[in-house]
Amino acid sequence: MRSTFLGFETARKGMAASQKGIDITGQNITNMNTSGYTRQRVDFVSVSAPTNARYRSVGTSNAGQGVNMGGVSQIRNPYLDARFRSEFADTGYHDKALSILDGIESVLNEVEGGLKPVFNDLLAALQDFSSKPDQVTNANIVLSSVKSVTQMIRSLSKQLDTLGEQYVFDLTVDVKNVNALMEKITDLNKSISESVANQTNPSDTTNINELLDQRNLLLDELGQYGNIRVIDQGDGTVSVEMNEHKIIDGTWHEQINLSVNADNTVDLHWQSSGQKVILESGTLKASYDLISNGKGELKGLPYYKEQLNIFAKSFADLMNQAFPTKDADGNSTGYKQIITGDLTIDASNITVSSEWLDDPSFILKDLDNAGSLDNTHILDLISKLEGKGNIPGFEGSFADFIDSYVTTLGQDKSYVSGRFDASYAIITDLENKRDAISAVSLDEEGANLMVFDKAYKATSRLMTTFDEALDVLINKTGLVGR
Amino acid sequence: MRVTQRSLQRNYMNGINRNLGNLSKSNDRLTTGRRFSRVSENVTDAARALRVRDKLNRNEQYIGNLDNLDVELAAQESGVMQINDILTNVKELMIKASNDTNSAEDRKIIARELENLRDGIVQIINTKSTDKYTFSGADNKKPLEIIDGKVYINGQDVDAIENPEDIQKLLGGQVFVDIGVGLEVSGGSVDRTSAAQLTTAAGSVLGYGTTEDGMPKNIISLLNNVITDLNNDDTSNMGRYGELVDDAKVDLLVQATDIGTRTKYVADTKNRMEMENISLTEQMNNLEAVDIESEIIYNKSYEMTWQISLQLGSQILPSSIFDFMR
Repeated sequence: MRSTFLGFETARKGMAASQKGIDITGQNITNMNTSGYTRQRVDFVSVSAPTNARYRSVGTSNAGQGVNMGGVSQIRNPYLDARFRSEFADTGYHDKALSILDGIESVLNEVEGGLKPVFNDLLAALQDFSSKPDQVTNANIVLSSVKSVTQMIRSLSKQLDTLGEQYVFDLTVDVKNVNALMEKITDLNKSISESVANQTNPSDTTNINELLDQRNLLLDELGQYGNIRVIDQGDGTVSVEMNEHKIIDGTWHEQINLSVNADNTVDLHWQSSGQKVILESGTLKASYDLISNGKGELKGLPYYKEQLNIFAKSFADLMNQAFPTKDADGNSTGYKQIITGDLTIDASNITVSSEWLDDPSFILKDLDNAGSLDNTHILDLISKLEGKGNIPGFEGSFADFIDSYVTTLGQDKSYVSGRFDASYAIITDLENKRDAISAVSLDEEGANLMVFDKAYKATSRLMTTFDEALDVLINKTGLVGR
Repeated sequence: MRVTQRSLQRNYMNGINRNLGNLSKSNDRLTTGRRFSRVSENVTDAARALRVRDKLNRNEQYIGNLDNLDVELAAQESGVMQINDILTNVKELMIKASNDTNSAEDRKIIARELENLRDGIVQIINTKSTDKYTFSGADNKKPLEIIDGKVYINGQDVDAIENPEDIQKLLGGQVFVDIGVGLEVSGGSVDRTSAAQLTTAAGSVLGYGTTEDGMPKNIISLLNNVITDLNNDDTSNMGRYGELVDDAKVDLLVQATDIGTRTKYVADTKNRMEMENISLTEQMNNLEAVDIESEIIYNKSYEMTWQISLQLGSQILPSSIFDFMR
């Protein structure tokens, strides 16, 4: 038997549902540009008549009781999230590597300026000196060009050091960020799981949708630092592994510790196990590789510093065996030290010796006799500076050596730049795919708005219909003959 | 596929960034006139450009060296030619002196003239221009000295040559200049085929040693003998001296030819390097310089694409169903 006022309840439910629909449409439209926002949808469920085998009402008396709201759900594709995060780590790696290599290349730029021009100036000065090996003027020109070479080497070495310090600082900021992200995610884990547990109406997930969005956004962000895997635990929390190492589990999170060594290289350790952080991709790996690892797939700062040191050392050794000293009888007693440094000469300390700095004619004295045109030792030096095989472990000449590390850098950067473009295209594509599912479409929301508006009006009309019907029943029924 | 405002916006921004990036890169190329300013922008061309630049740089140095060499060789050649002219005079005077119509006084006058000519030769040999003796060896000292009537070149008595070391001392060390033909130095000495010789030794210009009949080969020493004989009114050896002067002239011409060959070699090498520089400069231009015409066409098309995307943006972005709802 249908109760008299059943229809009013149906109409009320319908009106409430349409209003909620308009609310959520409004939520979607207003959050159209909120980053990380996932579009929401009211899940409507039609009310089914209670059925009971024993007291089963016969016929259709309980049917047509209207609509219920099953909840407000998010529309998201977890598979795309996982793909996005793994690709984002790759993009992060190449982005960071590109910016560091770019920094190195701006220091070691041989296309405009660099070590080559001063080195060529020195060769020119030596050539002139070889025609006039007795002239103080020419010795002085050689002195100033050697000074330029040593200054240039020192300046490049200093700039690489400064660059290293800057990237170490950037990395400390990154590590702080990662630690903060992990903490925020565990906080959200806690809030979400509590909300899930305390929900009076288990189907009403509205109040956690926004928290889920926040957590997903943070997980995306975490994904660029290293390759992560997110596992949904079913109780509202997620656990996260970074390259197979668990970094978030419920409300517990890992911490990364960064230590800076004396030579400005860095080490990353997990706080829980004390082991080294080893990653497959992500900005942390890029920073670590290029700051600390000279021999990896990409050549980093240590490699280029090493190359400069080798250059400086070989150059100094050659220059210090160029100008012989002779005793009173004209016998060779050794060579003049015209380049000095610390205990071992390297790119950071190479400098012209004070003997030569104080007296430009230092390299002229003690030769056979004053005014001599004998230039064999100068020609010897020129042939060694221009010739091959005077750098330990390297086949070519000094010019080849510079070319070699500059083109290594250029090739690495060009490769990384290509990889970055490719992975950026993939990321954009994945973002578009994700947005195709999760983002707000204004057209759709506009249509929904009209639909819910119409539905609301229609259910209002439904109520009017019942009202009019009951009006007939209550006010006009049983008035026979009145 | 469901298209959303967010992805429309993102794609639009990506596109407009790319277009503006292309335009800005093209602007850079036009303003700098270079195809790349970093090695990474074009690794292969940049690596080749660096090499070509080095080669150009070296060639400039070599051309500088060749110019120096040229000046030096010209001075040496003119010196040798002057000596040759003087010897022609000497020969004439000697024939004149041999003439029996001359009295002892006449011969003394001729001897006096010969002395002047001899001093002329000594001056030429000892010429010094800007700190360098034209005919010195490596030590750059005044090459010729006459002490007590004996002739010394680089401190070696020219008539008393006994062993190769004496010749070595007389000629003095040679100075070489790198002219880019693969300089090689080993064991403290320059491989003479790998560089150009700058010096011409006074000893080889004037000659040294003695003939089988004990006559001096050296011109100055010979002239000294002639002068002494004439002062003593002795013409018995004049015929023999005449022959020796002719021999000396032949030797001198050999020297002149040698210097001439070196001058020619220097000129040829310089010529070759200058030609090479033209082709190297062209190579460098091809590698590094922007082809202005095509770059401007690219630039214009980048600019157009950018403007179109801007226009498009003002149409695409805001429109949605809301523009049409009543």
